[in-house]
Amino acid sequence: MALLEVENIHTYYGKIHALKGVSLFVEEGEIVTLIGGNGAGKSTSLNTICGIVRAAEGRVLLAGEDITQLPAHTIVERGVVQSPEGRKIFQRLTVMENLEMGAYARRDTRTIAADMDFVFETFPRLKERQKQSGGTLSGGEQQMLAIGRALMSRPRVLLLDEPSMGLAPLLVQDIFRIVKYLNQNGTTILLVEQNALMALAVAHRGYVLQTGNIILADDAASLRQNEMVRAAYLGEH
Amino acid sequence: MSHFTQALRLDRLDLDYDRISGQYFGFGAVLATLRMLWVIARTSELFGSSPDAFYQSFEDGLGILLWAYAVTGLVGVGLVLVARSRAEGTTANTRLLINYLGVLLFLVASLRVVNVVTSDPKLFTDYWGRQLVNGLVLGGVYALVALGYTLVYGVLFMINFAHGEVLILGSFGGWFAWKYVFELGNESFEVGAAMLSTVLVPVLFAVLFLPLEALAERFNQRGSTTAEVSGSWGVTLISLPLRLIAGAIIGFGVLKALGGYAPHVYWDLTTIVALVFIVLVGMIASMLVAIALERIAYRPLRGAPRLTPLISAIGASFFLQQAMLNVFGQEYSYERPPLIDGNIDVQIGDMGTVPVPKTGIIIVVVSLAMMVFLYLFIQRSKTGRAMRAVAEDKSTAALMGVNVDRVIVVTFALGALLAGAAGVMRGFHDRIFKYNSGFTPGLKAFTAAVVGGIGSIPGAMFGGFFLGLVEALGPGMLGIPTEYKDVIAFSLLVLVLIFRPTGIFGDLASEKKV
Repeated sequence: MALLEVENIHTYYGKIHALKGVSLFVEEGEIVTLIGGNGAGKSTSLNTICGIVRAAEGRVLLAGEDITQLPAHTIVERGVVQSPEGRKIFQRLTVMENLEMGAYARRDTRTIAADMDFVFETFPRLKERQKQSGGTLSGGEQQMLAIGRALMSRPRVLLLDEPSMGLAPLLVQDIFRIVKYLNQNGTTILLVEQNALMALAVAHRGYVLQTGNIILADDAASLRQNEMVRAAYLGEH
Repeated sequence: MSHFTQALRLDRLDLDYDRISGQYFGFGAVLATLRMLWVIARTSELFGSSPDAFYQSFEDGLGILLWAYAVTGLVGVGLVLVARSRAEGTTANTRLLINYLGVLLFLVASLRVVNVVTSDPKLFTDYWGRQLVNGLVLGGVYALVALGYTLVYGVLFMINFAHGEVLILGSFGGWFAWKYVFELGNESFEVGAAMLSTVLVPVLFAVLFLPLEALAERFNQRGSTTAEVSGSWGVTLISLPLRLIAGAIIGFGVLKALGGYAPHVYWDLTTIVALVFIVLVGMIASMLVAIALERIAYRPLRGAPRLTPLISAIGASFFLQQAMLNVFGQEYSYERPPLIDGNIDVQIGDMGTVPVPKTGIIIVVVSLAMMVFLYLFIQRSKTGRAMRAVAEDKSTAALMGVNVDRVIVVTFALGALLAGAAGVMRGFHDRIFKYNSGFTPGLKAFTAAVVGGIGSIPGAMFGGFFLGLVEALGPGMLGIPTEYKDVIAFSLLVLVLIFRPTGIFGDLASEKKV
């Protein structure tokens, strides 16, 4: 049984049929990437899993348990945590407070300090700036904070939405190195990316989403070789 | 839509500063001209008779304000003209200028106030000193109520216009508690308070003897099932009745000992216990009403356009007023127990003494203490942090596992607890209140919140005291009858909305959020 399973979900925004039966699964310890163009439904898929958007049809299972109808904050408590697109850090809270917000849903208060140390170890830059308010950080630092914040909730599955968006190429490499590092430390990751090349380089498997449908599913190496993927998403002709 | 009407809308804060500053300075210039004409007319005794007392005090008070305004207006017009002739970007500069001039005006006015107030010792002890005390007391009430407006606005961007009714329901709740104590002691508050204390003090001690650390631990561990935790809880369960009984006995003993050896302390203490009980009842009454209000009148409209919950709030306000009229009837009055009745004469330098009502002191001290607690709660506690996160971004807060609905309820409850306390204390201070006594203070507190910068907690505190003082001192300063204090307060609201819609402590963040 996969850790996270999405079964044939349909999601609507008003009359727009955004997801037309998306099915995917993520095994424990994997990095799975969801690639696709603008408006393919990548973020919608993550938001449906998190309960921010409601699926009209289909089920989301966490370790076999149906979480489709749970409210968003309960889904977080169960361990499915999203680091949203555009970082969305709390600008007026300090770096420390942002990280503490990440740990909001946790009951085991005694282990939070250790995780805070882990985040600061992973992102030394955040440690230097822990008293600063989130709005004063640079784009790359904000992305680190967004990932760090998601880690503070000790996710069973971490959903990363476009972690490389708007970052300079060097920083993009940093971010992907960190994603890989986190995975090696035992975090299961579902990664949504427009930067398909980088995403497929770190992922174990991948899905290609097009206008609300999964059109391809394979391991990352094969997807990198796939003619259609190369033409459409890797910028090769 | 003209930009004047735009300026009066809270949800449209992106003002054309150039035009507005032009208006401010232009108005100042017109005023300066009128002012000069008025002085010429006066000095030439155009009106025949010598100026009477009314105009004399008008001269003393408003005169300097008008002068300051007129001068800044003239200077401003000059500056704007110079800047325009250079055809450079004037907006940022003029905005800065307005702010500087505003501060200047405030300082000049404050100096003038201090000057007028302290110039005559007799007048100070008989009038200004008392008004100053009144202003601070009124300010404490306004500040507590204003915090409720500002808290709710901070997270929901709506004005809870029924908050004044929440305030007065606190007065009602406290009154019924007071009546209960009064009748418990057969028409004697003190006897009733002593009787109540024989129950409450042992209970209080019993609670103090509870294994609080273990409870807190248990609370933090909710949902976890480690053997260690359940083990310590088991021990606690066995010792629990013992602790409770021991606490109750000690509490009872302390009370009896006090009654035997220090009767004065005993009577004062029991009265204080009863008063605290009354305030708590008022606070809880307000809180319950606010929670119901949020559930019934606001939550179903969460996704609706911003005007809808506003109208719902006004409707709720009228509903509550009429419901109180029908259920409770006309007029109620508190009776102060001797401990908090009367005045304390405060010696002011060599000017003499100013009588300060004891209830007034309680209001100012308690309101300041509550504000400190609120501030610490918002800044330091986990729930306070979640409130700030929800205020900034609800859906991201939900992604962190915050139950946004619950945080909103907590916000309403916090505001209502403050208003409830204000309602009871105000009840003891003014004695008389009725079903619609909350309406005007509610609007005033809203004004205070806007003056301070709606959404800002320090702003609401400052705005409350500021408005209280303006209302108490303003009529005397301007030499107009006290009945005009409401006119002054609401004129202030209009002026702030026109010239500085973000309020004194408001920042650009409140614009961005909208």
